[in-house]
Amino acid sequence: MNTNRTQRKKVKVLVIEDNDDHWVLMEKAMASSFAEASPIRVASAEEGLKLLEDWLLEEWEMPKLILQDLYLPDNEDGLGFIRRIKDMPLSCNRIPIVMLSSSSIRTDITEAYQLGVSSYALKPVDFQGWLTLFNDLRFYWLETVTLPTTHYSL
Amino acid sequence: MKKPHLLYVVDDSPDYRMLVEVVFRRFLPDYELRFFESGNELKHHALRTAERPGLILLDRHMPGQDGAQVLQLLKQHPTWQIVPVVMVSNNASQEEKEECYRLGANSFLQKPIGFEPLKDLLTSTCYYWLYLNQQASYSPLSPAQ
Repeated sequence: MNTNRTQRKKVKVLVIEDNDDHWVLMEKAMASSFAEASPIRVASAEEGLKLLEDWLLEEWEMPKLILQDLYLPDNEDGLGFIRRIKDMPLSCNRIPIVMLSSSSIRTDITEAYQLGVSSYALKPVDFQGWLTLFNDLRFYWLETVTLPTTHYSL
Repeated sequence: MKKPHLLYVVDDSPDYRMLVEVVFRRFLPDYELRFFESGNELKHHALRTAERPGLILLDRHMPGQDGAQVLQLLKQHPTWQIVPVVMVSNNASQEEKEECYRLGANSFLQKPIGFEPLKDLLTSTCYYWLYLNQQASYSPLSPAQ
């Protein structure tokens, strides 16, 4: 763990994205404009839950931020994932979830908020858009806000 | 003309409210602001209006109904829960910050000292929540899109 720690502290980010093509763009864009992130990507809600359950036993492994797609492949899969996380113990259920979705459907956005996502952003349509989005996400979530700690003791 | 972006600022300090007002008037004129001096004032307004702001900046520490109590109320309310609430404080303990996240705060900001840092913080926070972030809609009076 943390063998690739260089000058900056890495920030673990859990990414739930089922579309491989989107992930290729996201990974490249993150490496360039959200370089502090060490993303852990899973392709389904089940895999994401499994990881979070494992990390519950080792709280220092908890990610600082969760980026998730809504349609995994259906919106019910993404919404179900939020419900499950919000039912998990404290160290997990207050990690901010940022939804990254191509859907601008009103009910999708509203339901995601009702279930407790922190923020909902639209997926960009090209690589330049991803670079900008990750730059903005990095600036807000790493440099502007105080994130919750993910564990109590060291 | 696009409707201005509405945000609420809830803070018991008159100096802070004045500073925020100056920052918005000079540098962020696209936003429409509504100020509240206390959690109670916000609560009374919230229960009587169909208006939903794009963002609420809520002071954690206030006399009377404090920020955490108001946050809890908003996040348990069926139609206010979708409004992003960003908690603001200059001296919150780690426990208080954790509590706010647990109660559903969309994020937590350290209140900066000085005009320039405040301007930068408000600029990036408003950009994030009112432009980048997609807002849930609640518009009982206007027809569905």
